[in-house]
Amino acid sequence: MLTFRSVRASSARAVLWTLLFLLAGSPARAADTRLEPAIRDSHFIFTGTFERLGASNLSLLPASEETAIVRVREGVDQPETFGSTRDIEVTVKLADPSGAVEGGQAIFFTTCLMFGEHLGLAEILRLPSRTPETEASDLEQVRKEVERVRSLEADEDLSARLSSAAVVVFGRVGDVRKTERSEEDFGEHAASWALAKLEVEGTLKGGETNAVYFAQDTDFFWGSTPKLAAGEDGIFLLQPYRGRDLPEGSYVVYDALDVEPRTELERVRRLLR
Amino acid sequence: MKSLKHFFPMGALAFAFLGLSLLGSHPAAAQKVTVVDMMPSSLSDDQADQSEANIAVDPASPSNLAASAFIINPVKPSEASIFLSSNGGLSWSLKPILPGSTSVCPTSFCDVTLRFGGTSGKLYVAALTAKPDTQSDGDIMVYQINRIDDLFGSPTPVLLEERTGLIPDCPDQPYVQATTTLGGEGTDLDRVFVGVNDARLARVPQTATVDVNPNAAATSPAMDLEQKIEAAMPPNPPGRDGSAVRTAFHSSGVVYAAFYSPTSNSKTNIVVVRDDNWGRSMPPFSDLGGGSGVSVVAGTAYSGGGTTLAKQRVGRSQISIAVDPNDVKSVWLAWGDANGQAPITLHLRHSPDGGLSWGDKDLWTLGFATNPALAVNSIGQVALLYQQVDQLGLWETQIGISGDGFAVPPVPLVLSIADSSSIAFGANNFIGDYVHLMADGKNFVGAFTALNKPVPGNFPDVEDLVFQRFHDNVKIYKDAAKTFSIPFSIDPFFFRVEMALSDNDFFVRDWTEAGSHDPGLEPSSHSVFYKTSDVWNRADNVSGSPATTAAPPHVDPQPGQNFAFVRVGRKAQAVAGAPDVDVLPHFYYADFGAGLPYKDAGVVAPLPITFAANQKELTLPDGQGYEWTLPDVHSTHVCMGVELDSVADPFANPSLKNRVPGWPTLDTAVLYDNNKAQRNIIFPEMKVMSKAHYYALVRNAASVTRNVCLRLDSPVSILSSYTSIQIDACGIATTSYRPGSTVCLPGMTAGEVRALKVTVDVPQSAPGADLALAFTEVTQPGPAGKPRDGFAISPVGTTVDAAAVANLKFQVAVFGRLAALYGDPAAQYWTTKTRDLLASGFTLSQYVAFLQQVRPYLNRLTDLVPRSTSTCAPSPYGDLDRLHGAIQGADPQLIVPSHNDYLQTLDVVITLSQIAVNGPGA
Repeated sequence: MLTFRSVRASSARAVLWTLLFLLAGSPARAADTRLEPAIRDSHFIFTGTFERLGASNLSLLPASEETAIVRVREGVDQPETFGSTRDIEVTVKLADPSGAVEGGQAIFFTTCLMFGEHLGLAEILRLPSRTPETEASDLEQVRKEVERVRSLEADEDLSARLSSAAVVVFGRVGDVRKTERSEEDFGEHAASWALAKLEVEGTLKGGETNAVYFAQDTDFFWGSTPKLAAGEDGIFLLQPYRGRDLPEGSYVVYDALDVEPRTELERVRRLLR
Repeated sequence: MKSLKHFFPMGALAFAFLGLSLLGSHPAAAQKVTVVDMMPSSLSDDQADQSEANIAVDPASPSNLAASAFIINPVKPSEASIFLSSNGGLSWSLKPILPGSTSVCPTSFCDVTLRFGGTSGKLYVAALTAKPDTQSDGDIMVYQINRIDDLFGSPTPVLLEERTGLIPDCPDQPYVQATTTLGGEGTDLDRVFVGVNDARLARVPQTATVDVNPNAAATSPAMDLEQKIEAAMPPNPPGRDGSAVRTAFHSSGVVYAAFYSPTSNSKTNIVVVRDDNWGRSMPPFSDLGGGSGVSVVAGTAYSGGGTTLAKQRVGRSQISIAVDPNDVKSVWLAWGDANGQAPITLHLRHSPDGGLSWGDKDLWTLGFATNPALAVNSIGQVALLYQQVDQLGLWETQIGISGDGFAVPPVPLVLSIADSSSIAFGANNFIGDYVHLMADGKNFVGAFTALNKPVPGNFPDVEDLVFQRFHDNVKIYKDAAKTFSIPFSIDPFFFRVEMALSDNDFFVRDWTEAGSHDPGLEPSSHSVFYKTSDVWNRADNVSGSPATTAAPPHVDPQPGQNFAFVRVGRKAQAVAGAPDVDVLPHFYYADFGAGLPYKDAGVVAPLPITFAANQKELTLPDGQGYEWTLPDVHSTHVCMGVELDSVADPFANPSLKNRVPGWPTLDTAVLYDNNKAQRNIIFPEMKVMSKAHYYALVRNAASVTRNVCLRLDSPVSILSSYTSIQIDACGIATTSYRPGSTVCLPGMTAGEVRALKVTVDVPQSAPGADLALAFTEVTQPGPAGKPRDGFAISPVGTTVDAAAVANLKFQVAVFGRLAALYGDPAAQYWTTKTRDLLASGFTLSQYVAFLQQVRPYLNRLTDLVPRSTSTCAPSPYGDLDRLHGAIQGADPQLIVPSHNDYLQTLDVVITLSQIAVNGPGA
């Protein structure tokens, strides 16, 4: 199962409905680049069956002509937090109720409206099942497209970090030293910076440097930033920093993507080209 | 229900605390505790830690709540989400609501607090988000206040304020409070106050700030006023004030703020400031301590940066302030410092004089405790919520509730216990920098974060424990089949401490109409809540035994002996075998109109109404009506009031006694307290098909000049019975009564009383027909005006003979007042003669002959009343002249209405003359 990646905005629903129309009439669902915006906007893609139209199983999402209870047959792409979604009933706010029939099956591209007694979802795109014979192949096509788009998104995210980085090196973390932090002067949201010496084996971008700061804090604010440990091996994307709580000209690793395993070296080289 | 808890803090404090615990009183009538893990079942597989919960209850619709925490929306991490409940907090859903962070602060929102307006239903959300700095890889902290309209429909955000700063030089920890002005200048406007530590470089070191938005509900609201509240800086302060800046407001417009003003990295002052004009004084927050506020304690040890309590960071955010809604000068403050053996110790103090003095000793001291949150409920009980570590390493979330001002430290209720060695307690801010507590009428509600281990024993004082996650009271599971258990983590919890359970919640209906009635809602849902309430008067000691769904048979009081009755409802039966409960009714009366104070109907203690366990409704029985005397000097046109008192359900202070229902002193007294009711209606008998007038008095009970507005609330179905209804008062042109319209008496000075004259063509109608003309005092003209007080005049059309009798009865009352007030023998003589005539019975010709005898004395009697110097005061002489003419004409058809008009005007003139000398309510 694919894992969830970052959210991207898009406004391609109208186009995708056109796509839907076109696809429904074709003998086989060829991979179509116009699927990509729908996948980018979707956070839960699944195959499902319309159980009840004009219904809702959420107390804070009233039933209307636009809502339907859908039974999930199989998750295609979803956040890990959802756990097993097979056979659960969700409420879907339909982008267009026409064409929905009780018992009808489709591949749903959705994003989340609400977490309540059940999931409340907003439909971005729906690909109705054509025939039982084509269902498996259609689903496989969607899976492949989802995999491709998610991989593309991951590369885009990493490329953005590589682009903003002043220096990209690979090697090993040497000594790690905590720095003094005065909460009285910098406040509770200031990071508790530590300085990591780097034993650089190679430079992929920028000039020479051998030190980087990282936030030691494990609170909610800084908890997701990289924590470096002596001996850690990897690729380090050193980002410039201008906050007054570090010396001018300091570098930091700030985003989870700023530290990559060495196994990503070829990918990083490719993205830097 | 509650037991003495196992609360023995570490070290030397242990014995002291043990002593306090043994001495401690039980919580003030705490009846039931409900705790709900807010994580919805559809997020059962969520294993992240959520901390720093906050909560808001919509005062206008208390079943609607919103809550927040550091929570990552697993589907939309770029959208910040809040929890919503529409059933009083028993179940919750999570919903994306605003754009969130795009860099650090991965929970989308950080430092989120939220509050509803008082009556607007709008939600105000103050929060931090972060976004990348375009010039480097630093982050910009974005501080925003958003208003959310239509929260439970299609939520729409409206930005009220945004300030940014490059971390760490940025605004921090915004903490919002909000209300709706109930009266006076700015009536019905939403006021929003956000305490924020605005640590942008331009602000340091005086960073304590309160953002004030005086009209936050406006369609296009103006940005906030950034009120810097630290006027006096200690020498050599560090770079900024403490993180927490907290506010508390009173409905009269007084706003308090409290903050840490550090004098060094290890010492701090605890400062309270006050603003008496909704945070808009110039300079702001300068109404205490000569302008710079008061140091509650000076130079106390500061739990500075890096201090932890069982791995939780503490020290700079632990401050809370609350004001008694019934007493603007009664202020409570709790704060944490290092002035003890613990890394942090909480202190509780009280100021009885508006923040000027706080005493030199704590009312309650709690070692090894953090996250204080204070609230005062509608009946003056004070609660302190906090989180504490005991010597066993258990994190306990506790609430101490006192009904005696912490004269004796209460035994706290334990809402949650968790082993702090749990892996969930790994980060340095796993429970957050604050919790929240607020009053919901008599009850307390709040939010905290704790371990989501669903073992009931971990919630020892909780009667109703709700986990929305899939669980089996031992483990939590990712799936409904409970096949796959998951590790425990930190979840946000909602709680409610009910101070009055349904079987202890006694009420007086604010209205009873055929087939329906008020079920004891707070506030009452009926705008005309003063016409058919379940308090009534009888001339004899017989209640009239109204049917359950019938309005009580009220009789206007007469001078001398009267009997007051009340019907008391109970929201739910008690369980079989429960002891009887005594409910005491206290009766009051006031001059007829709006804004006039209530007087005690008698000094004799009322008899209790005793409810057996299975009883839900009782009326004072025949023979046990409350006997009271209407003084001879008082008009018979009066309002009545009642308030109920029982051990577990006292009425909300202040009492109606000597006070005014309506803004500002008892703004919510009757509408918002189901223990209180008022009957402000008179039933004057008048000859049908005649033109007659009546009066009500309207008083501006506020301390400022204002327009007092009356909404005309009677429906067309009633008004269609009339051919003409005219309204006159000083300052307005003659106005017709049109349903839904509003009449405003302009420029009424503070305390001014003005007569409102209502002239009608008395309609022919069936006996018992509802002809009541309702006047509701509202906060502003138009449909948005909120009711505060009101009165109704319900003419009873009669034959000319019956009207003559009614006139003579009223003459006894009015001439009796003149006799009692001025000792005039003629007044006494004609009072007696009128009474004799009534007793003997008479014909219309005898009535005419009698008035012809009285006529030579009428000018003398009228002259007894001092002439008012006010150009607004009505004069009885016009009506007197018309009466003279009618008597000379000897036509009873003309005499009867003229006689009524004269007596009505004379009566109101007497009342106004009394008020001019003695003040209202004397």
